[in-house]
Amino acid sequence: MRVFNARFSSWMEEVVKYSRYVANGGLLFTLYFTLIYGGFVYNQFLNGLDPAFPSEWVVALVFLLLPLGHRPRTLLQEADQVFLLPELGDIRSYMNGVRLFNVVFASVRALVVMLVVLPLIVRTQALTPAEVGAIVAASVLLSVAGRLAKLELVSNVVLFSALASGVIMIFGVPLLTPVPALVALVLLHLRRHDRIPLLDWLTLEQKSKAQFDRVISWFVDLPAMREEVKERSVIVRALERSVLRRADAARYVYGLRVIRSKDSLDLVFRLSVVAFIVMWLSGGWYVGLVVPLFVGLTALQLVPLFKRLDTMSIASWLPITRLERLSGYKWWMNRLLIGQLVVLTVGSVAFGARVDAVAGVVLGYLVIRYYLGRLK
Amino acid sequence: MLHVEHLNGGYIGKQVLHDVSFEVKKGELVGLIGLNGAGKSTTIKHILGLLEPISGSVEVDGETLQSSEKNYRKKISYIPETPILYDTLTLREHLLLMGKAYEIDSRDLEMRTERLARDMRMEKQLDWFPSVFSKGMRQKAMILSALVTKTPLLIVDEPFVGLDPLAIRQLLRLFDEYKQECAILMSTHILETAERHCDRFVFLHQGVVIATGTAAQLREKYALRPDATLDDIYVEAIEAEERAQ
Repeated sequence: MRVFNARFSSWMEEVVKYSRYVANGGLLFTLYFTLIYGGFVYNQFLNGLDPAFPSEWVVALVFLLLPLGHRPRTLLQEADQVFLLPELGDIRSYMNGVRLFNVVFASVRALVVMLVVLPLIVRTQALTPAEVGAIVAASVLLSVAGRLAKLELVSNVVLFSALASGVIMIFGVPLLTPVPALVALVLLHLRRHDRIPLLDWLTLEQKSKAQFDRVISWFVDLPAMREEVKERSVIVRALERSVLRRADAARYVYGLRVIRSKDSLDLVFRLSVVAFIVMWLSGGWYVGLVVPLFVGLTALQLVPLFKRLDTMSIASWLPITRLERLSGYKWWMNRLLIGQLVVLTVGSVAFGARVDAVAGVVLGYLVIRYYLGRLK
Repeated sequence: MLHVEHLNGGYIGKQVLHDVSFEVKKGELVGLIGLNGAGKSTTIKHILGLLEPISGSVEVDGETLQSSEKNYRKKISYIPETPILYDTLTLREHLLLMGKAYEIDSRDLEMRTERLARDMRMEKQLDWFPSVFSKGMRQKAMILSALVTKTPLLIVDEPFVGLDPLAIRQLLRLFDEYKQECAILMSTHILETAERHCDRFVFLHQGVVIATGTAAQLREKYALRPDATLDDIYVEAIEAEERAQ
């Protein structure tokens, strides 16, 4: 436990350090604004909700999603491959510490999701307090099982349990929903590792740390970050003939990065999907203003990436001036953000925006200009 | 091709190089030799324009960084000690990037790419991403990226780290070929290989050039027997310098 406690303390120190940056950054206010707007819109949606709304299906879907997308922390370091090896025999306490740490994370995540979903359920379903408790318990257990499954390197078991819990919910027996989730936890307990699967846990930690760094990089420059890459050969081939072949070196390198990195095109897509959900929930209430909000959120995250890419790259000694690199990156960002602005505006009109759509476009365009202007 | 004149430089608050002067002519492979911390990498960073000199000048093929950054950089290619590659580009795309940055004709680039990939046994890896490369493959990718440019000056920092014996042999062959039209400055700790392949040496100690010349000239300077190796010459040069201090 001594090793785990030391690692946990360092993790806490890191979180506290970065929390200060986050608390002092301008993005926090944007996030607050988004949350408040989101809460308001959600409240509007709940007020106008038809009691026949199939919330049990929403809960079933939430059950299925909760075990997914976990990035457990193991707090291991690369040097552990050498220095932790002699201790591996009696390191069970470290493993238990890591498991407990991740259980807390997964529980908090499930509870936050339930905070959003519960008002929907209680307004549309006649549930007893015990049944509501069972739904909350099932979601926590499924989230925990999903996270622990990654640690124990077990796949599929949890998804089957989630599916079973979802089916039970749809059949109207919410009291029984925690049972399949419990079965998954028992199976995970039986298949738990006695010794640390060092390389796997190290990979998990690196991925999780990369995600943490990615979020922090919205606020602070973290130059030495690894990127997750997808090949996306169809898009690359399509752009190769029209854009990439003619592009200069800076546009070429940033173009491929924008297409392949999970930080760029994926981010625009993810945030646009969330924007559409918010538009749908708002029921037409100032829906045009969602556009600049989400274009701004996207720009906020994309713009600081330039510094990160620029610091550690071959480009520093190639005959590509900083001005050319800046212009190449801006060229792509401009097209990405304008593209998002157009798509979101069309969406907002479809969801009922009229005058506010015009205001949204103008504001969105100004937001893009502002953030691109900060690239120097 | 490369003229370093009275270069004083280093990092903010810490001067590392003191009045460093040497040159590398076309057709030469010059070994930059020094202990850890002697200032080899700092010298290279100054030549690449990654550090601002306190005083002195660096000129490559008649260009300086001050006269035109772009033209100056077009004269230099570089193989760093630690490979730096873009995670989002395949090896072929790295070479394409080089082609665009150094404005190489696309047919020439294609021919050079094929030839170099074959020579360095990297044909199969041309469409791979760096994330799946071994350490040696990453180093080979850097070598390919630099050699494909055919710039007047090639700077190489510890090129043999992580390479297998076949790759080292092939690289040295490529260097011999490359230097017919260009100049090469190579920093290395592997003195045996340097002795066999470098035309001249620049000995750097505590940020000062303590000796330059061919192996024969250096043997004569330190009054060593004709069969003295570069190791012997280097040790003698360091000891002589420390005695003088």
